[in-house]
Amino acid sequence: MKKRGSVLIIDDQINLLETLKLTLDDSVEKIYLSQSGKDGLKVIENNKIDCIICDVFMPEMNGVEVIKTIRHNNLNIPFIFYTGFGSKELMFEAAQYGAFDFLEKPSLDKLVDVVGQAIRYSESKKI
Amino acid sequence: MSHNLLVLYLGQDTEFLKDLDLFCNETAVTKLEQHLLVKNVCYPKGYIDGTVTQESLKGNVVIAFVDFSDELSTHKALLDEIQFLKRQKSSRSILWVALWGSEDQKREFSYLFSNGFILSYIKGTENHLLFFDSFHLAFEKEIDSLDYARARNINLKLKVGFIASLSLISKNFFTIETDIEPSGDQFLLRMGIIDKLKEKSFKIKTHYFSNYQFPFTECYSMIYPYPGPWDEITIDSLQKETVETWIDNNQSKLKLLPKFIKVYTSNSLLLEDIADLNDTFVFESEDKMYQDTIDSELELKRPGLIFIELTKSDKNGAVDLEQAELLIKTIRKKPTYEPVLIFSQCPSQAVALGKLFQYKNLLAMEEALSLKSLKLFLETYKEKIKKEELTGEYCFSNIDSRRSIEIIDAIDLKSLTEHDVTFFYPTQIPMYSVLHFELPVDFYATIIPVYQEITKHQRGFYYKAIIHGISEDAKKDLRKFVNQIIYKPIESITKEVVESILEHAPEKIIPKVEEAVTKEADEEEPEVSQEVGGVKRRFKGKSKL
Repeated sequence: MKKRGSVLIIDDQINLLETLKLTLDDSVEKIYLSQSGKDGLKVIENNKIDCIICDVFMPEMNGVEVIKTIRHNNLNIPFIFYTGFGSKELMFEAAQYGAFDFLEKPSLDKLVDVVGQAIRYSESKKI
Repeated sequence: MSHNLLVLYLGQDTEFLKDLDLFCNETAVTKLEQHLLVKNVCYPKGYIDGTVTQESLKGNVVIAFVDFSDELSTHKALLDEIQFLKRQKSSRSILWVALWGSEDQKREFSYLFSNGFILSYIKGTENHLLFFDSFHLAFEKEIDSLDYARARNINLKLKVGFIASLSLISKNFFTIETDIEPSGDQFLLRMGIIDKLKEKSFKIKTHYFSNYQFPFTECYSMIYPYPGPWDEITIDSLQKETVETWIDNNQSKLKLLPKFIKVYTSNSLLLEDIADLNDTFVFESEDKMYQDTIDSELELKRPGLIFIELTKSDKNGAVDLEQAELLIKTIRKKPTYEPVLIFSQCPSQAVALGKLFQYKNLLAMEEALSLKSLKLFLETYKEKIKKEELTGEYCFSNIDSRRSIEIIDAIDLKSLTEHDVTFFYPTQIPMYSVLHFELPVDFYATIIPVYQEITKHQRGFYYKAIIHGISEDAKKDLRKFVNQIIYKPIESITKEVVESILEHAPEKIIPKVEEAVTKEADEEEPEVSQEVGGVKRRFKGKSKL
């Protein structure tokens, strides 16, 4: 499989970050890992990112606050929320800012496919 | 109101147009301090241009006079267009006035009131009265209505016809639309379809707080009085075969009920170029959903496609999904109903929204809804519904007089002039509703706002209605009748009483003066309340515009 695109994964659980990285390693060219929303925003500032995978529940800055800041900066990067389906309210809020997909933890079944679609979407927007 | 308002005249009578122009530029402009532009639109044979739709959707048109004395050959298409405009938020409050050439035309075109017209005039010498009435209705207090000698304290029961429309007919039930609410569980209907149904009471099955056609505010599905297997056959019984045979025999003249398409958008101009799809689809646009009516609306119309233009809710680009949530929650309550929802200006992908709302049939696009994409969705949907089974639910064409029906009920007549009537009725009737009077002479009357706080009387409401659709001869008779009963009150209003009064009335009649009745005690006036969009309509209460 040809590797393409750059993905940022934001999650406060280090073991989950590693698992997601392992899952995507074969299909994604560059993977950035951040343990908090704030760190993730710094990565975005300094790198070209095609897709963000983000947890919804995180201490300090949750997934909704991350997407809100990114959209405020006029960045239309596809946002995949990797989350437990516990919080309807946060999902609702996230969708208002533009969600590419919601993937349910801990399943990794569709991750590669959805990330591939998001990268292609991102590339198509840049043309 | 800063923009120029338009008064349309659809017809070819240059004299009428001249009078209208004069009225707008002299009387109306002075009273309203508002410039009104008169625009003449002619409909050459078989041709409809986009002017009326375009100007109406922009929200510029206040009144539209349609001259049917010109034998507008395109009037089926015109009525389709009016129906379309009545369903769109920006053009719903236009005041449609029908101009007839004769009493015969009035009878022939009585279905116009089921198509959104609320005033009618048999063309004659009194154009100024027509203008005063129309502008009075459109602008309310700005243009004063005229005063006439009034017979007061009549206090007599009088049967009238409340204009209604037969909007759906099937073998098991039919649906009517009207502006009134029943005081019981049935309506006495006057219908022109099957002889046996000419004037009959029907039980109400369901009351919907929505409608198929926009001219009306209420909708009721009604049950045929079919006798059960053990029921005794009475004069009121109706054999199921009678209705079934009638539908089978008339199928070629009936239309299948068109599919509804709902569009929630602030850009109603988008619909300008799809009015031609009116025969297949019924388009309705609103700028937003209303929590109190959405359930009833979906239950009744079951639109197969619903377009929702999402609006920005903050400066970070978030969109408002509350309306989407309300819509999907409402749809979920209806087990057999699963329309396709199309969200435009949507930052999320359909799959994400689908998971969020747990609803499969939805599409999302980032762009605003365009005519091109709208047409594409409609074409696909058209192909899909071709394969669906026939529902057996039919309706009548806009120009089919059988569509026009009346609900017969008695009002308490309070006062009468040759120009207006006041009465008391137990339930609320929205402003601008039309009633048909057969006595003392044949005329129509439209409920008008009277600018006083309407307080519900213990037993009901007082109303004032403007008289129209009356011939010159009938008006003379009405004047005679009013003048007679001012001095000689009557005990009932029947055909015989009216004939006797007219026969014995002196030829010389009292002039139109209010002084003649000043000694009469002032009766209680109708009470009105409410503020509605479009032109400043300042009354309070229920309104159909």
